[in-house]
Amino acid sequence: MNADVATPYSRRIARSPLTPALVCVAGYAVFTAVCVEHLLAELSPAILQAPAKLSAYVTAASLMGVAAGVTIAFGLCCGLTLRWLNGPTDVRAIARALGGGLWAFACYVVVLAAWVAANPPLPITRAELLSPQPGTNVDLLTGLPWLSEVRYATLLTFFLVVFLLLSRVADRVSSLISIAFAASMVVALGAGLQALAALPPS
Amino acid sequence: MESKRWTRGLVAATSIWVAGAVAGVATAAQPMSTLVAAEAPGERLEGFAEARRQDIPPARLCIGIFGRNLAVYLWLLCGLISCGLTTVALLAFNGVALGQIAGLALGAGMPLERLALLTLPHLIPEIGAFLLAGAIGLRGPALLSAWFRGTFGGAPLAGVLRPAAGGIVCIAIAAAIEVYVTVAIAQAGIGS
Repeated sequence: MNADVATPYSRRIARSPLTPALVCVAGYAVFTAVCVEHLLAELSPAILQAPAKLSAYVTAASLMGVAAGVTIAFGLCCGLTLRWLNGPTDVRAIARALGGGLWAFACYVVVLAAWVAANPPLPITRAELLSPQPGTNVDLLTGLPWLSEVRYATLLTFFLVVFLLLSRVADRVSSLISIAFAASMVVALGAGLQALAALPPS
Repeated sequence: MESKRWTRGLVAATSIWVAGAVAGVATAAQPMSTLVAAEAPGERLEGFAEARRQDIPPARLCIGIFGRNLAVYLWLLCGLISCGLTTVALLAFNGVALGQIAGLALGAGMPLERLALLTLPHLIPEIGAFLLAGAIGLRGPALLSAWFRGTFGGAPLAGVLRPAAGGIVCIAIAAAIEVYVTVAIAQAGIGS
């Protein structure tokens, strides 16, 4: 295969929205596997390890599924708002913009997976598992207390890249409104359902 | 056409949920003699219901359970706008979680009859509603592909409003059963 044919093909792969999504999934899978295997490595009695690990893997996979679903919902809201604002109705253009933004998360997840692989978290005990201290979360368990700040920065980068890519096919104001509206919808959905789940006495 | 769509959706949702539940039971249903009694999940299950009954007014408890289950129900419906991904994730998670609770309770020595009495009365309407929401949420991929083709005419959404509303009623009934029937069974010690 000569270079003329190979270059457009590799570009197509790089520009496909599926590529960063697959990188995200792969990185997240490595991160989850390293964290779960190290955190639960010394759980005793050993009979608890299989259900605990299954719970952890299923929870991680569910979170990944929900995050992917929310990203699609964000894209859908973005597209419908753009259509409402008489912007472009080409779904592929919106998908490409989303895919571009997803590279921010792909980089974040790959760096995170590499970091955790190099510095695996310490095992936790059964008592810590059954009765976690208030405020304990994955960031603290994995020894990365600054993770939430990096996540916010990644999210902002995602929005910025989507905005820049959407601005190529729509005017800037429409792009900004569609992103703001889609982000608000997704946040409102999450917050609303979280509030519903936290109704007293849950 | 519509009944085929419902059948396909319900079969798919049930398959995902059952696969999760089987995996949950399979990994958790082992003898738990090495655990101290206070940590035995079977006793936790019963103690949990009784403790909640003593401290919290039933109506408030009912609202809490309804709210939590309604949130799950709505997340399942969100599959419509998320290519079905939230639906698949939550159905599998729910199946595994329930399977594990059942497996751990059985492993801790709870009789099967007691487990059935403590769970089935409210789980039948509750899981039924979740599977219904799952069948609706799994129409998400059809909606998304129609959107990509530019042929969206709302066909995948036809006739989902009434069943979806019926599912919410089922969730409310399940919450009431859980508070007023399950707790009474737990306190009476039936089946133990």
